[in-house]
Amino acid sequence: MNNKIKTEQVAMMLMLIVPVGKYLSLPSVLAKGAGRDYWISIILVFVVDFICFLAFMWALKLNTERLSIKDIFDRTIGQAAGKILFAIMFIYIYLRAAVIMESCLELFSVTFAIKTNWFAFIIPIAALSMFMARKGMNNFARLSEMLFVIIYLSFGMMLFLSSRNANFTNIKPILDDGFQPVLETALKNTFWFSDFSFMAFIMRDYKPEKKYALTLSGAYIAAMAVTVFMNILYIALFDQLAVQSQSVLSKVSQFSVKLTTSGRVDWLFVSIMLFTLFIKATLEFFCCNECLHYIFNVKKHKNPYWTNIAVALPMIIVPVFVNVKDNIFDLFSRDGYGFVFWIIQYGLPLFSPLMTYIANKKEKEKVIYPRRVEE
Amino acid sequence: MKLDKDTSKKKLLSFGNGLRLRTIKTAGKPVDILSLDAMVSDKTVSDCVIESVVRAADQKITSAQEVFDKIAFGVGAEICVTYEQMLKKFLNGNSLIFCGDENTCVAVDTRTTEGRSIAQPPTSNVTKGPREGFVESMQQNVTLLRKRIKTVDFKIENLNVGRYTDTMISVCYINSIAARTTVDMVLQKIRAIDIDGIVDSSYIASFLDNPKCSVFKMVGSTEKPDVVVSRLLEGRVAIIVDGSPIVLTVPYMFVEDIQSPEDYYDAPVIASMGRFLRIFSALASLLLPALYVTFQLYNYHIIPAKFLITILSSTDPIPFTPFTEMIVVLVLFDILREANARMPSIAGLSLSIIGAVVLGDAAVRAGLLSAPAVMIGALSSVGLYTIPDNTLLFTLLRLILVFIGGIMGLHGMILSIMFLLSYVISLETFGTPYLAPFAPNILSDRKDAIMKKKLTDQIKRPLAIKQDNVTRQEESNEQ
Repeated sequence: MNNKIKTEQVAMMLMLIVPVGKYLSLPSVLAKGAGRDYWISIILVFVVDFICFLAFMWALKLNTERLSIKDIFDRTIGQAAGKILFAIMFIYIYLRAAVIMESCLELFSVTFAIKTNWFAFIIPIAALSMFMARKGMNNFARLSEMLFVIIYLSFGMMLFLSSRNANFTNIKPILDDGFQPVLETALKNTFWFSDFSFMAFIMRDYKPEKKYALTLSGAYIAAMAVTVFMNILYIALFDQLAVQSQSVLSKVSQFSVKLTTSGRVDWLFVSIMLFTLFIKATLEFFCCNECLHYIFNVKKHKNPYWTNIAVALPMIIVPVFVNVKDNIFDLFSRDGYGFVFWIIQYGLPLFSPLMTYIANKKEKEKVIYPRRVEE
Repeated sequence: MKLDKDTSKKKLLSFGNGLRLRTIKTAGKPVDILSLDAMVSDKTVSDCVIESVVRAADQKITSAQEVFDKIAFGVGAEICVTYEQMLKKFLNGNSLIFCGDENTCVAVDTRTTEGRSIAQPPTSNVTKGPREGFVESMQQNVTLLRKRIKTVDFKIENLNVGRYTDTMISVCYINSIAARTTVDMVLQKIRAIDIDGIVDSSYIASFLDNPKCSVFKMVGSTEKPDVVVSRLLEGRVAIIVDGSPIVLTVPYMFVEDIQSPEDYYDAPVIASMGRFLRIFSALASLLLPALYVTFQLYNYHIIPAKFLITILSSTDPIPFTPFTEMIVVLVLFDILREANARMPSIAGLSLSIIGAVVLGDAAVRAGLLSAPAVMIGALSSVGLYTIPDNTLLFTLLRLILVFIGGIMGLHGMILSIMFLLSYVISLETFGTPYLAPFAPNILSDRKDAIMKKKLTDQIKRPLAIKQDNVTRQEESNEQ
């Protein structure tokens, strides 16, 4: 049985990971900036994301020698610059994961009115993340494959339940306040996008198959469409109140169920959606772990515990002292400091084809015999 | 050297209880016939050995070679040179024929075939399909397979394991289908076993198991020859252990537990429905008790109001919390199951009725347990038997999930399901993913997973299993 990651698995991972993080606190933040037109801001960022994604897919195709991202950095920009890039990537991914976790805790307390202790909440997630980080990217791929249908069924049910009460005229008039607030909101909130960045860590284990570009770009477009539709639906449901909801995922379907006859069955779907949140968070944990491996030159097969702990500990402890969610939201949304990560979000994917081409060329020239034995 | 020459026979003669010695004078040297009581068939010894020697008594027999040429007519006759060879044959029920003081002897196969006759296996009754089941005799088990696979490609490699039991183990496979690497891996793992005894095939299973996996069963087992044959035809390797009616097969996948032998003799739609029911009831059995506790303790909003009122009115007088109550119910059912498995069959049925109905009903009437909890516990316990190979494991997992659900609510349940899934997804046995064809998704293999396709549509053998020949039938067979 071939243990390489397959195209469909990557496609499913994309379809799970892209929409879910955009349906917690982000809609209200975006709505504050661009009003009811914030969904256009999402489209704008997605367009840029998609261009970068296409560039990255090209890089995957050019990676004929199945080099890892570290190998590519080493052979193009050198070890030192590579490590700096990994360090930035680590911070970027870590912050995103931390915010997702806090949003997830909030989602839980908002949905089920249960105030969970932070440690009781995060320690099991950290344990799961450590466990999954040790199992490798293949496990994420298989897990996504396994849960994809049930998660999308829940997604579909939630959208169906919500859309029955939606008033889609609420999104009109479009661009009433002009294009500038929409553009500004898009530029300020790029930090929360570029969800395909995990693909940098599958370069070695993924071999593009026939029609991979069509499948992956189709999946990405579908994920973007779902995200945009969900946000339009949110506006259609809440109109002026869109700026106020904290955990959108649990709010959208609240008017659609009758407590006496069906109970809050929508919360069951919210709970199933939590799988996606946890997959996303643990995947980001995995990527942080990989960044540490590259920074500290840990060999691929070793995966020592200390890197797992080094990622898990801050995830547990930092939010106790710092209000990560508010501070990071403010920093990267209101204050617009998200551009510091553009090098990772946009620079890296856009230059990845060139870097991959050079690295592979060097590899081919260097390795005439004996060939590197594939693991 | 003289001492050595005497030792083999002398050592055997000093075997003690159970040794039978018959000396027959011939025109040449006297012939000694040694056999082990209870291990040999008296009739075979008399007819094939003693009678032959007596008939040849007037001939001049002077060596083991002459015994072999002129007396030992049995198919399995063999000349033994070393003491170890002789002892092995002797302990296995062969009769040894010594000629005078010769150090060599002739071993004649006189093993008794006494044992359980072939019958329908108690663990897998079927209404359609073959009824034969494996028995404790390895010879008969091999015969049951050979009767069904008539090809030179069907190979059997015999090994002996166990310092004291010296149990014979046969590794069976179809040479042109099974991957050589899998066969070698199985042989290597069995050869590496160094243990005092192999009592049953489950001993071998624990050595074939993936060492990282201590919870999930990673080796298939069955008592039905037709099942083994179908697995061999899919590129698997079968392991028969002498003295055990359970034959092992590797690699093993979870999906095998939801496949019943009858599925292959029924219409695909019926088989698919059966499989869907099995997987549904297994999942429901696993999750229902934990969900019941979680919903009651933390997420009662999810339950429709009418249901909630019904549940609350029946749980109101109960002195336990929903969590404790469910644990009590599940443990009670597990005790009943354990007791039922060990009870004499005469008392079993009536006592299990008393246990299940009277105890359950009495507990509800006494106000100790609520009717919904007993109903969910019962449903869950019965449902687990739809996946017979993993019943006990799921019982344990069910308890763990109830614990986590009771302590952490839905959050804990989702996390523990993710833990469980990612653990199971990572399992592999002999290069085959345990959850294939679901994770990784193998479309071709899904034709025989939950939704079963017609046999004519199953062109390929399961791709999840390493094999040398993936084509099961020509595409022209497809209708």
